Amino acid sequence: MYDLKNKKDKMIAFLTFAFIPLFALTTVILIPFILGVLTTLTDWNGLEVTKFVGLENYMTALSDPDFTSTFFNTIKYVVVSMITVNVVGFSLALLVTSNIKGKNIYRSIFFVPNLIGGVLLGFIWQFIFSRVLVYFGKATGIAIFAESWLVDPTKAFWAIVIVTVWQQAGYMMLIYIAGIVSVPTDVIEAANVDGATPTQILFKIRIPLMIQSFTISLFMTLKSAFMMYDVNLSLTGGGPYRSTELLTMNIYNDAFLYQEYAPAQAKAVILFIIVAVVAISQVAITKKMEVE
Amino acid sequence: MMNNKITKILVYIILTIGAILTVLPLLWMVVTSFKSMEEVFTVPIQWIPKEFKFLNYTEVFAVMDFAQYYFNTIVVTISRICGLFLTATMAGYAFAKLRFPGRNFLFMLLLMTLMVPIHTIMYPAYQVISELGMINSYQGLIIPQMLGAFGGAFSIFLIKQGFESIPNELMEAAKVDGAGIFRTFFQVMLPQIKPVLASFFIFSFNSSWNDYIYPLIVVNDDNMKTLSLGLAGFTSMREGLTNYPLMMAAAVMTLLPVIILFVAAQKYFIESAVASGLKG
Repeated sequence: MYDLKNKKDKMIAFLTFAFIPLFALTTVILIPFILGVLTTLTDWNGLEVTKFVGLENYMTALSDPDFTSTFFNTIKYVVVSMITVNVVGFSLALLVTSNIKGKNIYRSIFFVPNLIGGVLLGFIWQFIFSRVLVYFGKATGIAIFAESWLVDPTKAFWAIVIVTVWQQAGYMMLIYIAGIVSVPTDVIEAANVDGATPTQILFKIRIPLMIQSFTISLFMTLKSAFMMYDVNLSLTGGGPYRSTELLTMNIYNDAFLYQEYAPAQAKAVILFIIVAVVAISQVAITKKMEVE
Repeated sequence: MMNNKITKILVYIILTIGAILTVLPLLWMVVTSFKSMEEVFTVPIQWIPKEFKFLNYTEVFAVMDFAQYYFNTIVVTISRICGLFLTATMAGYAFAKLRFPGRNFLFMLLLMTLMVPIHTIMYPAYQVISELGMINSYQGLIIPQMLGAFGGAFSIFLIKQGFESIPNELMEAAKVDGAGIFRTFFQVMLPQIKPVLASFFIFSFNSSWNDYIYPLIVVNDDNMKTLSLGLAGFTSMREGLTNYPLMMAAAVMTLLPVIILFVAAQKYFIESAVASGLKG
């Protein structure tokens, strides 16, 4: 580690290099965050605070049936999308790192959907699910496509999952590629010589040696699934009959549409606590599995 | 050997099907943008329009203030990236190469901010911004984000990893040659992490260009809208018959800069492992 000997230089270095960014993060994240938490303890109505209400807003939030239903939608979405995105991303990574030509072209193509913003993505797929696939289904007689997926609660949920996979699998693929190429080839060759099957090599050698990639990918998909908003809005709008409404949409609507600021903020703080607890445990668990 | 060949062909087939499934919706978007309204709904799907309606593209500018949205998005994105570039590279450098009190604690705190959903701070942030009179202004759109608000922590993390792979001898050599801390940083160290910076530019450009929820909070005046907000305006037309060709023409124009940047930087991006923040 480079050590600045002079105390004055050390101060200057800290002030210029670290202070400004940290000051920025404090003002734009930490302060609103603390303000947000304080708001939940009051009866703030958008104009004034008349009293301190303790945990009342949390009680209101937790007893709201919309909170319960959107909360379970979110959990379902997080679990399903996290698994599918990572399975597809990891499989793609394995395929594009095998000995084939045109690797980089495939990698680029799979990554491209990640460049598209959620609103656009939702619009493109909204048309595909409600029109293109319906025509396709009617023309070919495939029953599953004969009706728009977006009018059926179960299919609408899967539509969101499919779009999520389409968008994120390529990105996770890149992270897994980095992990796969970091596994030293001589270890794999040695296993080959010892007569290990490809499946054994994959599960006993490659995956344990690249857990770090899983730590990062799982964390990123988990967090983006919990925070998903724009695709939800532009693809299903929470419908049909609010069956695909995620917690983030419920929070936004409560705060900005119905102006129930304090209970909405309480829901948002609960969301943060869940994300933090789940993400920290996930990282702790996968980190433990890492082999140095 | 025979077995090997079959697996290889199978891999190609799977990858090609995957690639087609990936590209098809985009191709459909481009094709639709040139169609007439009637042609959008013809069965079977017309993959090549009978006549290319380039007028769809000019019409987008007539039905909405698309030029203004475009201009706003460019101003906002470029300013944010400039600010974020300075703050993130400096912070990444500080965490990787400098020693200061509370460094590890601050870094943990930074990583914690990754877990704060925007929905948790959006309402208080809105209050602060409106208190400062920055609703419907470029300042409101730019400054909080420029200082590395959302995605700032991720950029710092990425750049820190980049700097960690650069040997300290380089800094010491620069010091012996009489360079101060700033010259060492800008002229010696920063050019060393070009691939990481390529990833940084793609990610930050992308997230700013596509950003939806933040402008949604800060802007309600049509003149200040960014492209994602403008595009979302198409939903309000949903009750009638959404004009898909226009919508897709707007979509293509929105996507174009992102694709161009990606193609330009993809050499660094795809080949190296830096996109992941893993030590490559």
